[in-house]
Amino acid sequence: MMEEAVATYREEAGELLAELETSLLELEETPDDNDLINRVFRAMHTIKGSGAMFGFDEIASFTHEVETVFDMVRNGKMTVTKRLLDLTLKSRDHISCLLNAPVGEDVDRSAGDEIIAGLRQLLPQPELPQKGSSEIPSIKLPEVSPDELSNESTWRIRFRPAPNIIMCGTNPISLINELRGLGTAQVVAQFDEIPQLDELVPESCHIYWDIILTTSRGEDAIRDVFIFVEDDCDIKIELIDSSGLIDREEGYKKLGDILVERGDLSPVEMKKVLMLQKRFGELLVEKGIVSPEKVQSALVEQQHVKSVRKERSEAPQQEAAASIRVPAEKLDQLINLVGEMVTVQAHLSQVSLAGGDATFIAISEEVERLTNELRDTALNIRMLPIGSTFSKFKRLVRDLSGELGKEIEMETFGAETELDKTVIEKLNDPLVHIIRNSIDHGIEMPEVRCAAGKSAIGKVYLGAEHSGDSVLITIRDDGAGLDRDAIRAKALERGLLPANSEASDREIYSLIFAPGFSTAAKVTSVSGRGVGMDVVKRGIEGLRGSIGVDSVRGSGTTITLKIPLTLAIIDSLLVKIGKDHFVLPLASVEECVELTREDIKNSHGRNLANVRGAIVPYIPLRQHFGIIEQRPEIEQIVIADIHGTKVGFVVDHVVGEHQTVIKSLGKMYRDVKGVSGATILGDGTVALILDMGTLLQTIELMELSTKGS
Amino acid sequence: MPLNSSCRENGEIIISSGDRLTIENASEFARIIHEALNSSKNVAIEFESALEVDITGLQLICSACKSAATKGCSFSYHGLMPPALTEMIIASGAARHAICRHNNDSTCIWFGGAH
Repeated sequence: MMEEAVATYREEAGELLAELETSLLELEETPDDNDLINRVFRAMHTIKGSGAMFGFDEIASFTHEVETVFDMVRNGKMTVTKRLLDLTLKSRDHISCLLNAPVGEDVDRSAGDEIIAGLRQLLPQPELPQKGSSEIPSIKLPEVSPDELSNESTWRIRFRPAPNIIMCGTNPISLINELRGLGTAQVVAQFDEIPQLDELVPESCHIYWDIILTTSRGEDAIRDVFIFVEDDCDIKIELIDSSGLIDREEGYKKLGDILVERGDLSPVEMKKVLMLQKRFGELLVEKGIVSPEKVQSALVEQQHVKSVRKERSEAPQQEAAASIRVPAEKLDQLINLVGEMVTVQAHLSQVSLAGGDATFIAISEEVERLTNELRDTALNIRMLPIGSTFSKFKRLVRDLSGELGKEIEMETFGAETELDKTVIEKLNDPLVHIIRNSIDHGIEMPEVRCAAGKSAIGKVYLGAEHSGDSVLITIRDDGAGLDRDAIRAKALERGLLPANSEASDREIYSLIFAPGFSTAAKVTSVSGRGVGMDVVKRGIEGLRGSIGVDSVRGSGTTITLKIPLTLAIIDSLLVKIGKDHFVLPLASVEECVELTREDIKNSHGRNLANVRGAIVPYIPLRQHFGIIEQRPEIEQIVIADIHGTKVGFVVDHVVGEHQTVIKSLGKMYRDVKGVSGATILGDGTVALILDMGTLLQTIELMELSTKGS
Repeated sequence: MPLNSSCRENGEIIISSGDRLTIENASEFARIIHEALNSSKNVAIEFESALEVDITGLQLICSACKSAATKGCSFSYHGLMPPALTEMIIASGAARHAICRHNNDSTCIWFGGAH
């Protein structure tokens, strides 16, 4: 059970760290944004509080130091500076290291110590060690989302500080403000224990507080506020209202009941006063039974809970269960099962059609409809907005530009574009390499940019948008652009292009993705070894995606990644050659045309088809795969669009559209070019999924080498 | 002007707050108010606008007010309440509209919203 809780903490802390990073980067742009400052504070406060609860003591103590600094910022005693943000971002990384360190493995603590030392230097130095402060923060109540509203509870807190609390350097107001940060709080200071001047010890704290706090954070978060003073102070925390209480009603307890519950009034005295039939509070005060302050405090509680309950009852009920947290493995399992079901459903359709029973066919069609809906819904669950990864790239740009002495800003768009969770994860490395390249080779040094009439600040744009069943991810910079001639020269030197090649700009630019290809004069810590772009190519091809490069010398480079929405199940075209079935991804297929023996004869062995006046080259797959069965009289050309070029793939028969559940090939077949996976058909046979782009490239290379030899 | 007190012709004692009403000078402040209440029926504080104040300052005012009520004296302030004191009253949850039984059941002039 504890292991589960720790795993949940790790997961939630990971999300909070991502939120922290995003907020810090946004804060750099708008350092006065109080909402962002509060978000940073709250993220750290939660990481600290929960960390202590689940045994991550080092995280708790380290985060406390950072949180202390941001408390000063929140209270207006410090301003947000670049140095503070640098250190806080480093703190975030350090917390991440601590969080992900395997149990029992030592983490480099010196990094944390350095960060803390740096943060402490930023703290304003007090004039006197026990100086009280007159600067009171403006109190901003956090906004409460409908989700949080549904988990809220209201707590009655009586905080009676130790008399020497102020002399020990703790300001009780800071603790109260920390409580305010947890939710909506009503605070009433009680002065009835303040003695007259001749008995007053001015340096002691004679005040105690009643706080009514509505929060979604739970008792532990409240106790955490008092963690450093709880041994010396009297702290009473009682749950007085919760959205989970079954018998709750919109109203709230009567004043007398509240006072009795608090111990400020005895039940006997309450009955006596009630007999007098006057307003209860007034009577209590009139008779000197309860002080006006205590009555006021109880009235505050009554009013607070009433308004919280009213707000809750007005919130849409469906918001209460708007989302749930599900482990990713369970989703993967669901997709696998849906995949199996799609396969079985294909078998069922096949058998029902073969049997010819109308009722059976109708049932089979209904199952097919439901299976398709189930498939779409299941796939949709795994969709995540790509924006969740954007902040880490902003961080990358920020850190690298600083390292290289460049001034670069990143702008993003289309953060809400959704992609399969697995695709997003696998996109990370290619994007890192492309952005690193843009920063290192693309964007010029500020003085060079100014000399070229550009702004000293370079821009890198990262965006995503839907395009059919794919997502286009664009990485654009306003740097120097690619040097076409240098790439061409290097390609000729390395034999990647024939000496008399008339390659287009696009073909030349695509050479930057060749393994080990680099025109960089020197290797830097960031890039230049010619490895990164090869990683990009492999990564994107692994996602069944494609890469487009466009560049204008002096103006910048645009790299466009076209990525399929999902990796699990695709719409495809099922074709047959001899006895074997093959699957072609439908997204690239444009049309199918017939290829007769006469057409073949007329093309004089050049593998070119005339499609409504346009010449389309084709690849006879039968020949490529060495299939020896008898060729039919009329074959089919499946015409596909590959990187903007129309190419035909000749097959015996086109069976029709097919829901393809992708199964990866084993390690033995990892290096087979042109085949990206396999699928199981309804009758249990296996069909290979063809990667048309790679297939075309492989055949082109084979032809080039044949011609060369 | 540093923390000190002076007596007017009408017998009222005016205490000049100086620039702070915090733990560092709370004892001295308490002593001056105590002496003033022992020698006059009317005691008032004149605050500096840039007054620095902490929670000890609030409880000192409350204590002085209670002492004044017991002795039948008036304990008030002249001019405007300094912003820092108003903010401290709000931040500490001291603001109240209830009457104070230690002050003849009158609305508290300090924390009762008179400012």
